[in-house]
Amino acid sequence: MQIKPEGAGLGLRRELLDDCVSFSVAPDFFEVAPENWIGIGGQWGDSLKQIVSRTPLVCHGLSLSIGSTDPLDTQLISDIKCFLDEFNAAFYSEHLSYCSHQGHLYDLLPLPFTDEAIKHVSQRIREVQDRLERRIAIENVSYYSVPEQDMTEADFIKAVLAESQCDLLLDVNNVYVNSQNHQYDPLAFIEAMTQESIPYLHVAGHFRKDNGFIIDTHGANVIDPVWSLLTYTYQCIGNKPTLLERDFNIPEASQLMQEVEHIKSLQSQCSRIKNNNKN
Amino acid sequence: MPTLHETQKAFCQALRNPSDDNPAFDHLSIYQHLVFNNIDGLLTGNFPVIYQLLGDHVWRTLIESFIQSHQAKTPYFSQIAKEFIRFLASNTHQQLPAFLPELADYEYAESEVFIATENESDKNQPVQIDANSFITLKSTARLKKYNYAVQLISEDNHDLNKISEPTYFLLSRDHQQNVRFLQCNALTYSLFELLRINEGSSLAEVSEILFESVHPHLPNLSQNEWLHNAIELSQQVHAMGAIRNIFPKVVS
Repeated sequence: MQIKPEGAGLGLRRELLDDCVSFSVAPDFFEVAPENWIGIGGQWGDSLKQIVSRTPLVCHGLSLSIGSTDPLDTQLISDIKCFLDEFNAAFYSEHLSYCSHQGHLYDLLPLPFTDEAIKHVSQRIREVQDRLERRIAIENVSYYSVPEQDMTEADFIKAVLAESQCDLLLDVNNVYVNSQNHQYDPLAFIEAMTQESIPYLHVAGHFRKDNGFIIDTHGANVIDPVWSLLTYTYQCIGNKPTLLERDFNIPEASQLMQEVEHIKSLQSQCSRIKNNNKN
Repeated sequence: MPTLHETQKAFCQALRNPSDDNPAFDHLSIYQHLVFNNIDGLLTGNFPVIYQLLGDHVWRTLIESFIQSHQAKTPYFSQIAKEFIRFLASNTHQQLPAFLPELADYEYAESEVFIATENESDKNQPVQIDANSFITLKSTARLKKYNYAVQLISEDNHDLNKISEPTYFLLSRDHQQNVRFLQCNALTYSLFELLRINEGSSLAEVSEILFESVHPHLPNLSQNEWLHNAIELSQQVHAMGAIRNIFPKVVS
C-alpha cells in the first residue's frame, strides 16, 4: 500500500545509509532516484529495503530524459514501474529537462521555451503516465542557459502541465536560483503556480560564484532567502510535504536533521497562522 | 528558428567539445563543468588505480574523450563504469597501456559483485557438497580471465607485458555480503565455468566431463583424485558464497 508522504523528507544517499538504518537520520519520508537503486543488491539493497519498510518513499527520476528528441527508454520506464511497485512509492517525478542526445550526459540540460518543446515533452509525459499507470510530477529545474525563448519560464511550465495533465514538483530553491540568475521576481513565479496541482516541494542549498551567478549544487545548507521563499510558498498553496536535497558535502547526521526539523517548524508556523486567521 | 532536435544536437555537440570555440549558448561552460565533474567524480571513485597510474593530466584527457565520443546507453549511475570499460575496450587509445581495459574490468569487478542483485534461485543453499550434489554458481558470482597480471599492476609496477598464462579469478559475495576473491589456475577455472553453465548434472558428472578433456595433459591424475579435488574446490568456493543448488529443496 502506498503511504502518502507528510511533513519533512530527505533525499536518501548511500553515505547516509548507516545513519538511516540506526535512526540517527529519521525524516518523515525519503526520496531516492530509481536510477541509483535499480539493480542494486547486497548490503546497500538490504539497507534500502530495511529503511523503506518503516518510512514512506517517493521517487525522483534522473535519467528519463523526458525532453529529449531521442526515443523514450521504454525499458527504463518498465524498470521504474517495478521499482515503484516494489517499494510502494507514493510519487514519481522527473525533471522538465533532458539529459541525453545520442548518448547520456548524466546532467540536466535546458529545454528551449518554445511551443514545439511544450508539445514534444507533453506528449512524452503522457506516454510515461500511460506506461506507469499513474500520474507523475515534473520539476522546475535550474537552468543556466536558454537555448531559445518564445515565452517566460513560468508560462512554459504552465503550458506543459496543462497539455500533459501531470503534477508539478515545485523546487523552491530552483525558483530562487533561476530568479537570481535570470532576473525575475521569485514571488511572482510562485504566485503564477498557485492554481497548479503541487503534491510536494523540494528545497536545497546552492553555490554562488564570485561573479554572483548561482549553481544549483545541493552541496550547502539552505540559505535564509530560500527558507523565506518556502514560507511564502506555504502561505500561497498551504503546507505541502517538503524534501531536503543534499547531495554533496554531506554534514553530520545531527546537522542534517536540524534542516529537516527547520522545514517542520516552518510548516507548523504556517498551520498556526492559518488557524489563527480562521478564528 | 531551429527545431527542438537541431537545438539539442547543437547544444550537446558544443557541450561535448569544450575545445571548440562555440559562442552560441550562454554559460555553456557551466554545463561542461557539471558534466565533466559528475562523470570524473564517479569514475575516479571506480578506477583509483588507473587514475593514479595515468596521472591527473592524462586521466582528464581520457574523461574528456569519453564524454566527447562515447554514446553512453545506460540510464543507471552504477553502470557508467561499465560504459567506461566498453569505451576503453572499443578504442585504440594511443600512448595508453594495452592492459588498461583489463585493469579497468578488474578494478570494477569488486563493485560489480558488491552490488549484484540476487535472484530467487540463489537462495537454494546446499547443506553439504559431495559427488551427488547438483550445484551451479550463484548469479552474484563472477568468473574473470585476464591476459595481463592485472592484480600486480600498481603505480610502481606498470611495465607489464602479456603473460604466457592468463590470470583467472572467481569473485563472489559471502554470507556477510562481503566480496571474496579466489585466484585460480586454468583447470579450476574450467571447472567453475562448467558449473556456471550447469543445468542439471551432478558434480561427479561435471567432473567426469572435465576429466576427459584434461586427462591427456595430466596423465598422472586419476579420475577419483580429480573428483575428490573438484569436491574440495566446490566446498571452498561454497564457503565464499559462490554456490547454489540447481534445484530447490522439495518440501514434503
